[in-house]
Amino acid sequence: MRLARSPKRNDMHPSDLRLLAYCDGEAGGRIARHLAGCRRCRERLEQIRTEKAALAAAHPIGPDQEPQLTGLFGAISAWQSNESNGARLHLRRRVRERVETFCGAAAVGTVDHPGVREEKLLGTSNEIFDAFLGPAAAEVIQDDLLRELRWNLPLGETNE
Amino acid sequence: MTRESGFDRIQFAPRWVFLFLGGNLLVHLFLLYVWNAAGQVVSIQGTTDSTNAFSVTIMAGLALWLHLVVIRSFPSGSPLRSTWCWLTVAAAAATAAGLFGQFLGSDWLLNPLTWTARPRTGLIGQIRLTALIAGGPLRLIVLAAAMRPLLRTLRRFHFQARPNAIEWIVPGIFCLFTAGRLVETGSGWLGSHPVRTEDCVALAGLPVLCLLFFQGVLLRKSLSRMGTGLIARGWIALECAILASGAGEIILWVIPHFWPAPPAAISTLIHLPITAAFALVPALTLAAQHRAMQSAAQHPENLPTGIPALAR
Repeated sequence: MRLARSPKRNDMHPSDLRLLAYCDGEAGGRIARHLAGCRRCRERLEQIRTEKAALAAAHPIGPDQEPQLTGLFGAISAWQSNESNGARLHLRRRVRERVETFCGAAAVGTVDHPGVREEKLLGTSNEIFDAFLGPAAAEVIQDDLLRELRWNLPLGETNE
Repeated sequence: MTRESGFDRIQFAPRWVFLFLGGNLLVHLFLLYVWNAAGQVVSIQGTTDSTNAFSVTIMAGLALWLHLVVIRSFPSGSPLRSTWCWLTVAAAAATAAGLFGQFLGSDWLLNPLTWTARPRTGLIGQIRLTALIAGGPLRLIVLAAAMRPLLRTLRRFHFQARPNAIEWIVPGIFCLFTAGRLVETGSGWLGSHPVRTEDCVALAGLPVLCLLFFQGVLLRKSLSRMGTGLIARGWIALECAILASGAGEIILWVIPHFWPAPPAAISTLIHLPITAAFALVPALTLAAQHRAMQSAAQHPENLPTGIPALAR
């Protein structure tokens, strides 16, 4: 059952986070309309702007800090890459297990080559299961393969 | 969870086949033992080309039912849909041949065609001949047709390999056997020996069996690149059934040379394992499908929430 929206919800004041985003030009229309009619939020926005200016004046990002930021971004990127590689290895292992169970050990070598990407391996194995066990069983096997994977690839990589 | 329903008991189909086969083989061996111990007084003789025993027909019926169950999971457009269709037709031909040959094409008491004052022997003979054709050459042609899409699908997934010279020896031997049989029958016919229609029907199936042997070698080679997984086992059963069919033909030809009046149980003892091997093809496929469904039943949570972007 869908609950009716409370009329008060439309009149709620925006959070500090949204006001901060408004300061940075990342939030528009609705907050601007709310600010036009809400003195309390205008005062809060003014306070946020003052604090932001004071913080920028106290801790300016100099040229010496840019390498640190670059390092931080690099570390984040490396961490994401490791997560993805781990998931890829996990997926490859699971696909190989299923192929071995349903087709046989020799089939693993036929289907999986060193240069084959995980997405391609998954697609090929699904085609084999679809052909030899029928679409319903193949779908179940693929669901089972992907169920426990905790990763997300960009959608563009799935269409290979 | 609904995916698993329907597979609850059918997962044991291979066991049913093995139990039925084992039980019948024991009974027939016991009968042979009793017949031999009784000094062969009891008349259970019959020619080896007689129609299949009831147990073989029941096994063929079981195979037909299993094929009908399997074919439902291969919708139109599936690569192996045509293979399963042809295999089902072959199983239906075997069952129909057994039923018509035994119930209407024989002289047993329960045949309604023998109840009239003048038994319709002509019709009985025609039914018997039709049953022989359906269960012999026709069924083998259909099986050969079933092998084509199967081999094509295996080639598509790079499982096919070229057999070496030694592996061609087995079909070569069977080709020689076929040629020998044709020469033997031909020389008998030229020597004014009467050639029975049943012999002609049996001979007509041998060239097709040769083709099946060649296809069986290709299948064996392909399966060697696949392994012995749950899917492969079903097709290994088909390969064994083809080889057993050829071996059975050779044995049934050899026996009368050493045993002038072999008992009918010998024919059943040969045909029953062959029919069981054909029944194992859908039975093992159903077992593999059940294994796949079982994994889904163990994780009943909502699937879409667990599927990452890759799957979507």
